[in-house]
Amino acid sequence: MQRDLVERAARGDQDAFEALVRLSANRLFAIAYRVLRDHHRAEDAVQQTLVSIWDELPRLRDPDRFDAWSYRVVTRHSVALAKREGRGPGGGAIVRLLPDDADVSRAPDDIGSVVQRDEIERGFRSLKPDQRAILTLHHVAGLSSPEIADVLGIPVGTAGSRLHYATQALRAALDADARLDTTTERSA
Amino acid sequence: MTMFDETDRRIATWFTDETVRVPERTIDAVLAHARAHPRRRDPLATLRRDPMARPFTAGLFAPVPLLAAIGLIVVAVLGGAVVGGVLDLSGPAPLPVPSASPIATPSPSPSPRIIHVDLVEVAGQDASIDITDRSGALVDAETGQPADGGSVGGRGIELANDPVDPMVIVVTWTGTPCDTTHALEIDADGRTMTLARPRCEGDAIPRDLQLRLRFREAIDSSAIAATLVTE
Repeated sequence: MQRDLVERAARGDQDAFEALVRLSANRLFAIAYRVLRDHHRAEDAVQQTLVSIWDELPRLRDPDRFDAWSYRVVTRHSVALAKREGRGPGGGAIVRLLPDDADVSRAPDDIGSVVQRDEIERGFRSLKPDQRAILTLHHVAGLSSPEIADVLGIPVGTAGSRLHYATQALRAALDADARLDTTTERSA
Repeated sequence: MTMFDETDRRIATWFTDETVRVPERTIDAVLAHARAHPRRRDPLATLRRDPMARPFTAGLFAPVPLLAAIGLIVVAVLGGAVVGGVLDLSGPAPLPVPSASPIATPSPSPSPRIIHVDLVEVAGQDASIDITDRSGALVDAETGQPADGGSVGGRGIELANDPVDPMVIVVTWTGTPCDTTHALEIDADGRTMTLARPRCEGDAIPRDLQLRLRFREAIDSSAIAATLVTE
């Protein structure tokens, strides 16, 4: 079905393009939002992506490659936007979800879960846009290293090592965050 | 090991436990763009590069170089046949006619190509640019979709590669509401651009203008020297 939509949209069928947009927009938005961590900038990235897809679709020779291509386009737009705006609203602002004096050790599970999510959020934001993109393709789009290599147009080995280093960087950020919390508790 | 597994699980959960939906206004904007830019027949469609092509297809076996190579071979074979006398296209050779002393004429330089583009201006005012290309490398040009306000600092002009198409350079510069006609000169070397805008007197809110330049081959925006002048 999607192949048919892609072929018709490439020939200029507006209805087919609308159906294709509605099929893929949320998927692309999930990726852009994860990379940019900001709804408004994610909207911009997805809009640019879908406009690019309309403009460039006739050049896509194999309709079955549409998903991979759309991931490539949204990743590039998102990373470009993240790099251009640097540490903007979604780049570096770190928000503590709980007050510093909250007694986390006795908090219910849901608060503990919020704290954990907050830690990962901070760690993820500290990564470079390219690292955020590759982790997002892996965890949100569910792509394997060979599939990421195909999407990004890089060798499989390179995709594997970038995924590994991005994961390590996130782990290191989480560890650093945990050490910072421990130091703060001791000094208090 | 348990710590690593637990961290992996937390990370994986964090990525998937949040559902986001694209706002309807984004979809509306995209569909409006598609309606405003209906697909036109592109006679060169088959020659354009597939955006998901493997890297090797960008080399000798890409359609354009392949066609160029075939064309050169055909010209060489025909030329050789004519010079070698296999194809007698001209009949008996004419006798040389003495002439007056020859007058040296300068060989004509290729005339520059001029492209007119109507620019999108966020406030809806008229704006356009005349591009003079002396390099012969420019294929076409179209307006970009600038954001609100003025985002370009420093020299007032910014060049960037399109993240999707390596043959497209996106030029963004700061304009004012009263500069409606612009001119862009691309020098013969294809690496120097001068963008002229009219002087705007009085208070004016800066806002971006944007141009998308498509070249015959991939081009690095950082290799281009661009200057913005106010006339």
